[in-house]
Amino acid sequence: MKDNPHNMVEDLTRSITKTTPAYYLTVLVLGAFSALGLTAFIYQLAKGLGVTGMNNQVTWGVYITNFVFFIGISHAGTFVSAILRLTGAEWRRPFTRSAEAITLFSLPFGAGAILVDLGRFDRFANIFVYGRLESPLLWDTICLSAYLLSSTFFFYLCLLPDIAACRDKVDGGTFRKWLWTSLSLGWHGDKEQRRRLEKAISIMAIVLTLLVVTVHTVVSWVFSMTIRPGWHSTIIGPYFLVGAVFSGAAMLMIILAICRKVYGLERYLKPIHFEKLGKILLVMTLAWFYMTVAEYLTEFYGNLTEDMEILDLKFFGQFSLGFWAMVVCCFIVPLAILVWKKGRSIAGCVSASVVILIGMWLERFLVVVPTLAGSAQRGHYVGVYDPSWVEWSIAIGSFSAFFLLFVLFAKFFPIISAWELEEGEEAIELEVEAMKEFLPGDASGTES
Amino acid sequence: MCCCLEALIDTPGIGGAIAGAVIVTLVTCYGLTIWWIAKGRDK
Repeated sequence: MKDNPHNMVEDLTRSITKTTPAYYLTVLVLGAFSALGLTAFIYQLAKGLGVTGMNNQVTWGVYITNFVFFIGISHAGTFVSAILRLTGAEWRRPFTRSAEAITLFSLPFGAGAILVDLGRFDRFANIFVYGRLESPLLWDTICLSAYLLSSTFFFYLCLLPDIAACRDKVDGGTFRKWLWTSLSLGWHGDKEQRRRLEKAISIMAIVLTLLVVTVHTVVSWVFSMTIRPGWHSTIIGPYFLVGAVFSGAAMLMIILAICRKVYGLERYLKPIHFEKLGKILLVMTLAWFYMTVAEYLTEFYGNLTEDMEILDLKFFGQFSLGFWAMVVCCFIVPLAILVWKKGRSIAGCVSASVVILIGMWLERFLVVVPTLAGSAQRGHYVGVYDPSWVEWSIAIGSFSAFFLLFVLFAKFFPIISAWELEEGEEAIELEVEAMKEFLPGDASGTES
Repeated sequence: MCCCLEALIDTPGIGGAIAGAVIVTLVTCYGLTIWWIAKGRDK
């Protein structure tokens, strides 16, 4: 049965029009942790990188881990919105907006982690002034800039009809009315405008899919183009890509469950959506495990001294707790939950997702730090890395600010794409007709 | 490697020039696309 479009707009703009005490409390708590992160960052600017746990041996730590992690979860938006759109997966419609928002809000924190890691972020200009074409850092800068711009553009395109709907149908106060009117660019939704918008979105879906593969591969090449043991690996590009889809889907699952509960969106985010995303997580669990085994088994068989030292540090040494926790969190627990249909309930999927995100953060940490701690490059001693309160505060602040952006976004724009749901309802008959093409029947026009 | 390519790679600021060109191109394309969509009218 077709939903009354007005009720759908009313349901989906409830986050804009109704503000509860819980909202203020959430903003306060997230804002406080974000402020903690900012304070720690200012302290680090004043005192220098000596306030961190990084040292001459272990020059990258929590900040670069966060860089890779945030870039990884940004894959959620592209995967759901772009790739599922290209493959015609209609079940994606209720959560494309949330997925695109995850992409948009995580990228600044990913890129920002690099600036924090630099210590003096004015030195970022050096990549433009002195950057050499052979440098993976320059490739990274170019690809991330392109990805950020393209994701922002794609997000805006997909938001445009809903901005116009808010402008016309929602009483949001003077400022929000002005914002919606400015951003809607006079959108009136006639056939030609819709045709142009659909065309632009279709092209951008392809562009973003290509970009996301490029970005995650280039991020991985920052490591693999060195000849350090544990990094110099041909599989690292696909490994990072799989990890990105994995962590992105897990973050999306958590965000959707929270939105469903907090904004009363049970009608739109149904158990079947979580069940299907859960299947994707299950596939990615297996893919991640395959990549991990391929990576470590190859190193083990090579039996090179430097590689074996890194393996020893991970399997039995100072990083063993993190390593085995990673295996449990990224493979054993998600597999145990998601392999059963009952496990792919909302609660099961969210539990698996939380565990997966912890595991994936550990995985990023274990990519970055053990190789640097190894003695091979630095002459005969194994380094130690003990992150300081400054690094943990900035990390907590980054995650808090990421969630805070999401909460604030929901106050200005609908978090579910109303126009895509309406388009989906209009497309039901077309989908039924399309299905008939695949089933036995008249093959008119297809035989020679 | 040919000397032209080497000279190009060694040019100061070539990295920034390429990064800047990519950013400017994208901003221009996306801006024009938004304008094109906003101008759409049924005939």
